[in-house]
Amino acid sequence: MGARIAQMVPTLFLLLLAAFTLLHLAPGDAAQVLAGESGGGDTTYLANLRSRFGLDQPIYVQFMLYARNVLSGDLGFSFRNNMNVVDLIGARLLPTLLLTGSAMAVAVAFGMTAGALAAAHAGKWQDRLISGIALLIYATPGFLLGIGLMILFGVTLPWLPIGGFVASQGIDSGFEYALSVAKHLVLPVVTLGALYAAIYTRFTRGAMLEIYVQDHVRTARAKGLAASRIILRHVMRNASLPLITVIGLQAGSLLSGAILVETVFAWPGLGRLAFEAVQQRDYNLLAGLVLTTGTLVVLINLCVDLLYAVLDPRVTLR
Amino acid sequence: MTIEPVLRVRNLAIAVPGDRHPVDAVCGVDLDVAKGETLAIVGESGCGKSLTALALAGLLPDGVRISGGTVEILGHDVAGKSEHAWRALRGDRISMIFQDPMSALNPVLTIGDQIVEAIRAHRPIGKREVFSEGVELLHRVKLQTPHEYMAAYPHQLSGGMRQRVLIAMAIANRPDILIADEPTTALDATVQADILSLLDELKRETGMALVLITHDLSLVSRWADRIMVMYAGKAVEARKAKSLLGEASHPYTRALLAARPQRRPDTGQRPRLAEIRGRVPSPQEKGDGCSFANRCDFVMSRCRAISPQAVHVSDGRVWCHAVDEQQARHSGALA
Repeated sequence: MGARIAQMVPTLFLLLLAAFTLLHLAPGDAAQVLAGESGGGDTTYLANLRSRFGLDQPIYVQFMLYARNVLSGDLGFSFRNNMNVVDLIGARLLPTLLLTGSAMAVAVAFGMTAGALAAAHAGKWQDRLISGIALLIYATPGFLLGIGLMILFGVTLPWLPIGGFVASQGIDSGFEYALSVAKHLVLPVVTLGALYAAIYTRFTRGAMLEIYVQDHVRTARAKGLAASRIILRHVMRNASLPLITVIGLQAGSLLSGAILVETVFAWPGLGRLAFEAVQQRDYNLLAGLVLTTGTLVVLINLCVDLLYAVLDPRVTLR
Repeated sequence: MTIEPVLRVRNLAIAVPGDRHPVDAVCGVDLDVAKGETLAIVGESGCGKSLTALALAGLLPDGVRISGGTVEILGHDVAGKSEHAWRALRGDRISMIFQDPMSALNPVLTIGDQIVEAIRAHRPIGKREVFSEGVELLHRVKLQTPHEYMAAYPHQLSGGMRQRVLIAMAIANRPDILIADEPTTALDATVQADILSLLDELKRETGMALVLITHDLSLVSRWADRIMVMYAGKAVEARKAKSLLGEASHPYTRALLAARPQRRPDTGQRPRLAEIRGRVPSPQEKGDGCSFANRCDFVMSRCRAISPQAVHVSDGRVWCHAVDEQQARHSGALA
């Protein structure tokens, strides 16, 4: 367990290095950017700035300084937004976690149920229907699905808000606030989760079919257990192990998928922030986002490993 | 001695998917097993013995079905029963253990969980009671420190221990019939005899009928009361163990016996094993005649044309034209 956490250290170090490299790949240096922000300056001014921020130091010293700043919670300043990067990211973290977490939960719930149903009726019409729908969703580009849902449920049938995080007026209580957020959440979650639900459906179906023919399932049948118990306790339980691995691996792509969905639905999350940062060449913010989402992915994978150890007694964390 | 058999099979046929239409991989099999009796079904791989065993427990794989005959358990025909009806019988009146104990237990559940659910599938009893019953069962299959085994996971146990656990689960509800499909094939030679003697002991204690499926004639000869030899989906010889081993009639049984590894009594040397030339015909290849005709040293013209009928011999029956002719000559000579 301790060793598993220690394994994260090199990963996080590489992440830090990547963020630092990103900052230095930017044309010019921070001093020029700073000078540019404040309306230009002469070479002495630039040299002053460079020595003030340690930019005239050797590169490894700069990296040490950068690492020290990051570890002390300082991700730099976003001149475009005129805010500390930490504060910017802090304000956007929760909406993104809410969006991606809900999308993941919905995708797992739908994917496992549909996959189990398809596996239980393998080769019959139920299986073909479910597999067909999953393939259709899988092949549909996310933005198309998002815009389609927006037009259908936001415009043609005006049931749901088409963008934003919460209604700007008519909120009197905490409950109304939560309800409004939930309503705003529906379309982005469906858009983001649909693709993963389709993937998990296919995956669960395949994993369950593989487990169905294993000897221990025959033993369970030989005991005279009810079919539902065999499916849930013996087949599903074992099929969930590879599924959890896949979920962990896709944590990163889920976060990058959020960029598109948050942009389409004007969701105030990290994804949209990243989109804006790229457009505005806000390198400090971009490096901060790389660090934050990278750390999130590492943490999610740690959780997956812990969960795996709980579900599979053969796995011991070293 | 007319004890009503707990398991009676008549004219059983099992169809498997073929190239164009289903073909019978097993046909015309009769079985009678009485309370407290051990019947061994012996044959080489592909002879249909495992399919027969699975059919007895209603566990035939998808696409494979009983295409004829009856299977009576405790006097009730169960051959065409629904999955629901089978579920009530399996693990209760008829239990089964399988060839590979390494994969027959669910890897993510404790031994205790798996035993408890076997009991509770048929008897709704309280948590504490069912646990102590599980401990008692593990004790009966001779696992020391049964409490610790209850909390253990399958991967922490050796193959022999796992087979004991599977036996404990199989006898959890005191079944009338236990089917053991190659129960020792996957185990070390030293453990094989332990498992078989455990099965024998449990059989004596509970009076259940034991059906032992194996390819190893010499292994079961010590434990079986009666032996049925199968070849290419049919019974070729079914007799009391003693007479089958002592005076086997069917050329195939005799060849099997000759193929056992044995030391020569005079010199103690191990001679080269006798082999049976040729191979088992697949269900599609079978013609009208005796399936063994192509490999038989005593083959006659009618062996290839007509499937042999049962011939009564001492303590059983043999399906062979050569034996039939021999008997006819013998009785002719007497008359």
